[in-house]
Amino acid sequence: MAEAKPASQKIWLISNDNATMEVDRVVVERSMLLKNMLEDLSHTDITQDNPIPIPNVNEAVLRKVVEWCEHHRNDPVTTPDDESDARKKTTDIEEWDQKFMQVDQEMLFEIILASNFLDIKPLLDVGCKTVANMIKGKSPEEIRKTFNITNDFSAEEEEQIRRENEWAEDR
Amino acid sequence: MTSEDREPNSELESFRQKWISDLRSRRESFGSASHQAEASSAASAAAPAGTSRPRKHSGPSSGKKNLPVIDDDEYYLHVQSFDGPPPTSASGHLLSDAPGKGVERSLVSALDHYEEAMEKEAQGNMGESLRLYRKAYRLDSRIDQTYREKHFPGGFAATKGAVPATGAPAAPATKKSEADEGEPKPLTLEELIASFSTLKIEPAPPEIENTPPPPCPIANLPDELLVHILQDVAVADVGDFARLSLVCKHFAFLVATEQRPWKRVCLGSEFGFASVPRHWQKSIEWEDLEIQEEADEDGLLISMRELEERRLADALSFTLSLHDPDVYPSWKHMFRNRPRIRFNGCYISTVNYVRSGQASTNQSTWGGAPVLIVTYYRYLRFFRDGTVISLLTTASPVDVVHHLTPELLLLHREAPHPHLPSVVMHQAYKGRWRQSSALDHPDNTDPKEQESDIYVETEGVGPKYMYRMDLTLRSAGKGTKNNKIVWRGFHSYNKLTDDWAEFQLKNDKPFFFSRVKSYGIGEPVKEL
Repeated sequence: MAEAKPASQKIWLISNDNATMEVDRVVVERSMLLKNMLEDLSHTDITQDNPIPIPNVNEAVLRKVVEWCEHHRNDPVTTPDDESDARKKTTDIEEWDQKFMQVDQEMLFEIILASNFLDIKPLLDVGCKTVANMIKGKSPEEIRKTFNITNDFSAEEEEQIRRENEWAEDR
Repeated sequence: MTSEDREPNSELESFRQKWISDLRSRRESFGSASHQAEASSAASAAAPAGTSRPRKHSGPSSGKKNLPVIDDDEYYLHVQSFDGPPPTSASGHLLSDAPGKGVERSLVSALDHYEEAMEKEAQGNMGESLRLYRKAYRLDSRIDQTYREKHFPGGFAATKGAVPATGAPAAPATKKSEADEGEPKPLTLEELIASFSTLKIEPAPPEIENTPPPPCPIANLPDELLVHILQDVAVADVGDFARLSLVCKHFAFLVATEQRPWKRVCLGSEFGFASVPRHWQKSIEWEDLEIQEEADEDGLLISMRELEERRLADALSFTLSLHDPDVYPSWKHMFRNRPRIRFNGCYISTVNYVRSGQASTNQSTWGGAPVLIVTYYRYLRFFRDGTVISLLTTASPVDVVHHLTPELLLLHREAPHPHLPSVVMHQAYKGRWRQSSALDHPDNTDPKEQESDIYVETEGVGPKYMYRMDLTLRSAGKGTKNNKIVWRGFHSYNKLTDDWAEFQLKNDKPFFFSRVKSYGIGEPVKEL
């Protein structure tokens, strides 16, 4: 359908707080959700006056997500393959992504939610890894502090759970 | 002893003070204060830690006024009591935690005798130990249970109940005191976890009343995404992942019930079974194996790299096949129970033996020949890349474990210096190891047995010898797995004459695992 001029073709998105933005089609196609949607539409359906609505995602987050897609517009599309996935080293985040993820916690989790909704797996992975890095090496109390979580255990329950998981300290 | 009096070790001192006050309070409850003289204990001297061996001992008859004995062997005992709560020391090293106990004790209760007996047993002083055990049992026939209650309150019942695989109705793991207070019977672990299933992450309350609470965006995440994050945590460090269950009930539920992170860990090469070397990965001298082409079953030549990939694929499919209700019912169970070497510490075999020394004319008071108790240690530290360091020394773990690194081995092997770490590390041997697979035991169908053998090949004395240890992974204690290695055989090979000779395993004490914090979590293997 759109093979004529894929690079230059524009798509318009509108966030849930009614901000419209113009994005290259290749950039938008980083989102599997939107990619599949666009394949079902003829390219003339989407205009500046008739943008694709992105519910659940506000302008600030959408701009952030689009920024990530812009930077990664030329990345090869990963195929979801369970086995190779399982062996992939997952602890490293490339430098640009690390900088990109230096946002406050609310924004970080908004990005994770948005990338999940829009089905942008590499961005979701980066987001989750960022959170995982915030957890790494911390004590339960430090983790609660970091994420503002209440300790809802009684002392006995906590002790019981601790004993159950003690063995895992010996990797 | 006089020389030792000069340096009062402050740690020992404080221990002694504490002990004396313990004793005092106990005696008050006993009501027979006149019985013992605590002054005698105050007069005793603290032994300096790390005095070298062999040490002299005057035999069982001298029991009452025991010499200040060096308690390096306490370490041995320490390892075996692993199922107690892990010692959380500020210094960070488990091995330096062995409490100083060079103090002469005046024994009052049966428990005192029992503890002293255990200490003596650990030191290899069997005669004295036996005498004290007998006395302890005469004073209290149920002393072993009393001891257990003191040192492992609820521990045994708890760990049994905590193993989900046994399927046994989990025994409520409470201390006696709690039960006596008439508290409601605690739920079993399964019930407890199940009761968490509907709970969400509870955001923290505001620090000041009537102000908006601090943001808790993680509470808005659906489970699916939380599991994704947990999986990333698990891949980086399984310990961190398990520790997450202590954050809140919802995390506890996810960690206990979610199989995906465990599956990923089992299949992965970071901590999982993909990286277990089932074939030699290196030469004994830690060189890369020569690039050679090997013929596969069809007689076709394949490159090493191809072979490597094929083995990896085989390992993967074998691991997948083991996830079976009859073998390892869950991924978590597999990770916990399938034989695997642990890397965040080393395996240590402690050997004590007694031999009689020569009678000295100057020591007529000792009445006969002195007895020498010799203690030596074998250390094995495994690495994920298939290399191993093997060390046989009389130096105690405190002096050794932190130096058991490849860097120090390479640094000190040529020119030994008379100080640590050189004095121990120049004796260390390079080596390589691999774990057995179904290929090594074609006639055995139990996958656990097939996989539990460890083969170690190390350098020997002089360049013409190679040592080969045949070992088997076992588990000791209730909670921990893969923390014991037993001997099957020990041979030396003369490369020049192509001769095998067997070492007599007269002192084939098993190896026990000790965590060493400075090793970290054992660097994951580099991607192929």
